[in-house]
Amino acid sequence: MKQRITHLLSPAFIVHRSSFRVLLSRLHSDDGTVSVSFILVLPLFLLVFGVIIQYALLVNAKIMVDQAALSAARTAATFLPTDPQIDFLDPGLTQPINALDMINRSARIQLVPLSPASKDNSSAPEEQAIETGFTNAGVKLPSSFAPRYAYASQATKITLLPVQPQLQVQDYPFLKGQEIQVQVTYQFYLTVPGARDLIGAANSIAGINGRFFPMVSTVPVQTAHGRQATVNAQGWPQ
Amino acid sequence: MQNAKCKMQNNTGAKRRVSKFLHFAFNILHLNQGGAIGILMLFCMWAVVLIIAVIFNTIQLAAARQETQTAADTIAQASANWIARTANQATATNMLICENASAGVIASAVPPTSHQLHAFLNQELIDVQKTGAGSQTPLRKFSADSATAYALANLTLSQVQGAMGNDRLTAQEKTDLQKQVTTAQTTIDWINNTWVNGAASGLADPPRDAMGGGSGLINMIDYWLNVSVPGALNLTAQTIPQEIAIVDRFDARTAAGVGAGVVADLQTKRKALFTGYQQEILNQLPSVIENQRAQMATFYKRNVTLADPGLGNQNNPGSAQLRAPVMTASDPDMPTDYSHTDSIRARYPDQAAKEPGLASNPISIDPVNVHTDEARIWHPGVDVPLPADLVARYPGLPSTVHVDGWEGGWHLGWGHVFCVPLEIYFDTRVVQDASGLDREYMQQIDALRKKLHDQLRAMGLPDTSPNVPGTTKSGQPLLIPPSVSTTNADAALQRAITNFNAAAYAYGNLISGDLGGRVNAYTGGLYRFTWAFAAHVWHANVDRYRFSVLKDLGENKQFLVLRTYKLQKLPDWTVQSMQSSAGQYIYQTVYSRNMGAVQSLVQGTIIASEYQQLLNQYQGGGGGPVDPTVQRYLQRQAELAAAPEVAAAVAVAVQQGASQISTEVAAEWVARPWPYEITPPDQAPPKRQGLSMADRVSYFSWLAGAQSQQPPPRVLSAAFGKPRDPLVAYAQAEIFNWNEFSPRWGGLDQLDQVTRHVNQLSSNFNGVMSGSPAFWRLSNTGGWNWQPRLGNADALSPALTKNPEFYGYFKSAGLTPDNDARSLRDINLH
Repeated sequence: MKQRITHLLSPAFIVHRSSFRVLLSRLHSDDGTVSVSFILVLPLFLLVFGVIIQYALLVNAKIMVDQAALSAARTAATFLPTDPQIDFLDPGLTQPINALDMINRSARIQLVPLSPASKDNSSAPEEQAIETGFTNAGVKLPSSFAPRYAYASQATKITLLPVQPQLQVQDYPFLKGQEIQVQVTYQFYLTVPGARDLIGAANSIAGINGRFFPMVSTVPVQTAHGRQATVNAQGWPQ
Repeated sequence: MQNAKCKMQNNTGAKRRVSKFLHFAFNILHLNQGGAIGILMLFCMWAVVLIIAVIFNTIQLAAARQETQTAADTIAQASANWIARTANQATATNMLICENASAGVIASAVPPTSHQLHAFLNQELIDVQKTGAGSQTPLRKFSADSATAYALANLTLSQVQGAMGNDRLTAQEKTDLQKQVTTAQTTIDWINNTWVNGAASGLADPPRDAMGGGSGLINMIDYWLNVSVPGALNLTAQTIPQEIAIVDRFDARTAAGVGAGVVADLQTKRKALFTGYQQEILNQLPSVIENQRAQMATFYKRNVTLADPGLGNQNNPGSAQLRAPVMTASDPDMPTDYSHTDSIRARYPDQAAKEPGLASNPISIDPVNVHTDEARIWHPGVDVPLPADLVARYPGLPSTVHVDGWEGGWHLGWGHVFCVPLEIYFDTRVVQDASGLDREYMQQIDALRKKLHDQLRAMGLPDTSPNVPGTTKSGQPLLIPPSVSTTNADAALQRAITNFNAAAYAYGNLISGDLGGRVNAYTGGLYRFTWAFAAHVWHANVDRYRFSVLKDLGENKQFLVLRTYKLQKLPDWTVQSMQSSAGQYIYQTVYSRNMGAVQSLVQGTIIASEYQQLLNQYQGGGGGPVDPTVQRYLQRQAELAAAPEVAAAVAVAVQQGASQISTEVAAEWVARPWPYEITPPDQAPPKRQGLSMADRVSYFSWLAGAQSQQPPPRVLSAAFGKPRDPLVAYAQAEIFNWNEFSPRWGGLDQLDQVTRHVNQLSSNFNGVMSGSPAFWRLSNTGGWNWQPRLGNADALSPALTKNPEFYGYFKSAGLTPDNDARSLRDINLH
């Protein structure tokens, strides 16, 4: 075989007229083109496939972030009429908690399945209580729950936005019938090689270095202020 | 060797076979493409089937989960919708009851008002004819009286002049006294010649009168009586029939609403609103929600259950029967009384035993009619000492004076409110309903009378004593005869001086205060036809029936209240400020109510004592009759001497009594429970507003659980495992009311301040202060705005405890919750 190849590549053979014809005939033949094409297309195919998978994961993540925003919004609707900075001690709690903590917690729990395990050994203050709660409720949590929750805590940001720009959020509890928006921003960790380099931005969160994609979901909330009825001078609803 | 050779041959053979296979494979891939497509297709088909199976399973699971959650969300929201509607209907019908009751008040108040207005105006028509010569006598007599007073002043002044010669006065003193006598003579002459009888042109600056000339008081009075008064009477006689015509229109307008049986019919309808509508809605609500739950379960193809975290499923093995957070005011679930030991009755048991209905202690407080009747906040009057030096100086003074301790009528008591849940809206409606008739008829009558008043004034008729001129045209004040005095006068001269001073005082008083009184007395007879009275009569009648109807509403208790409505102790953070606020209110009330009576008592005694001293001094210990002119003069001097001491002494005494009463009543005020429609916040608003966490969970929140009837189907179940357990989802919904946070509708209530609980139609609507905040949520338009929403599932724990079926759903899903409340709250799912 080696001799044959050496022969084929030898200048004498190449310049040999009959040998040149053989080479032309080989180039003219379709033999092996499928394999060559496959080899050439495979990386591109893998890249496209990876993008599709990453996109599917993003869609899934978007659904979960939306769910997290909805959960946070429901919590906001329930608790926000009270000054969000005021701790309250309600039935079932042994430690006081404020509305903002409750809203954050609602969103974080929804995002745990989406989160990778943190690598910086950080933990959120409420993580242990939540883990105990799930365990008591009969849910067998994986050992990765705590580091995943730690990541979710660092990767999730809740923002309360006034619908009317001239209003300040800090005034919210004292306003009447004002609508706000609960905005959840989550840094989604991209995992598909190649695709993540195309669509993600480099960052480091909870000790994880990689590429992340910010996912935003906003839910409008009419909290207990609700819709304020307008009344006429006689006090009747209009 | 042989083995080694064989081994070498084997190795060579193996290499040859590998080489041949590679060559064959190269040829297959490179040269022979037969079957490649088929293999790829098989591979792809396998991958596609697998992917489709994964996608199908995932979609089925996701869809099932979503549908299950949607079912739970929908039923929770829909149930809350019904409950919110029920709360709104409760509010609306409560308002309707108030409006019905308000109509009853108006219907009751119209007939007596009409009767009183007719009687009053008809009597005025008669009186206006009588306002003739007889009542003019005091004014016509002024001319003679002034002449007599002038003569007396002249006489007594001449007596002073005569007594001066036999006195022990020094020459200088005589000279000084003579100057005083001369000045006094000049003054009384000026008054008589110029001010009273009119001056010759250029002689002096005469008084101003209605004609603007210099005719003097006598001519001015003659003009009033002969020109102004006849015209005024004529105009008045024309006006009163116009007022009667307005009353007739008032009668015609209200005739349809005040016929026989109207009030009774309104009462019947009011009762029907409660029994036939409010109670019916409450009774039907559970079955309506249950029917909807069943239909939605069919629609979503899910098992669905409802859980009530407050009441539970009440021994119903299935879904909880949800109820609205309202109840009748007489509901047994609401404590009908609240036992309380009254600190004031304990401190004054003897006085309390003498008061009707106050003998018992502890007492029961009606949560609807708070601090009323036998539970009223009562305080006996207190006896407080007058200043010791004052009592020593005036032996006739009692050592103590009595300061009353009651408010708003002795039988009502401090902080009493009848029918608290409806009172504010009811009063609002009464005010609104009464205002229409007030504006259209009563104020029209009063406006006519006001117009008549202005017309009378324009005719030159004086309306009050200031219309008797007090200054000349150039602004110089009326000269008043000066009193004379000297220090070394003997008894005879002193008596002569006193006689002159008394006569001069009487003369000066005649042409200022006394003439003003005569003018008032006469023109009062004329101007009383111009006094606004119709609105006052109307308001008084409305207020009278407002009170009786409100009391009737409170005693019957046929309306709805929130389930959270009850008597509660004042929150800790409010107590100090509330005590201070109540104390100030009570102090001011006691002080202002008692000042007049106590002052009158003390003043009378002190003036009498002072008068006696002056009289003794005048008589020189001799006694005997004293001229009335001198008596009036001495009385006036006694009043002037007593005034500053009386004011100071009475103020000190009443302040002491008011302080004691207000301190003790305020302490009892904050010790008593007060009615709250919702549990008051544990911190001052706006830090805390709205429903408390516990009340929201127990009364205003409900949960729905949804369970898939079978696991979602799977393809390639062998590859992907067995079907899972049924899917379970749950959701919490609640109703809420924005007015918790609206200052206009009860939000930001000043829970630590006394609250005025009666709207003001006029001064007849005396404010009654209460210790609890304003109530709005179930009895006014602001409260007519209950809305449903999904919320945080913080009521999960009690719902699991009290609702077995709901708990069973969780177990069927593989969860084994121990229902640890804190754990569930820590998880904090929605």
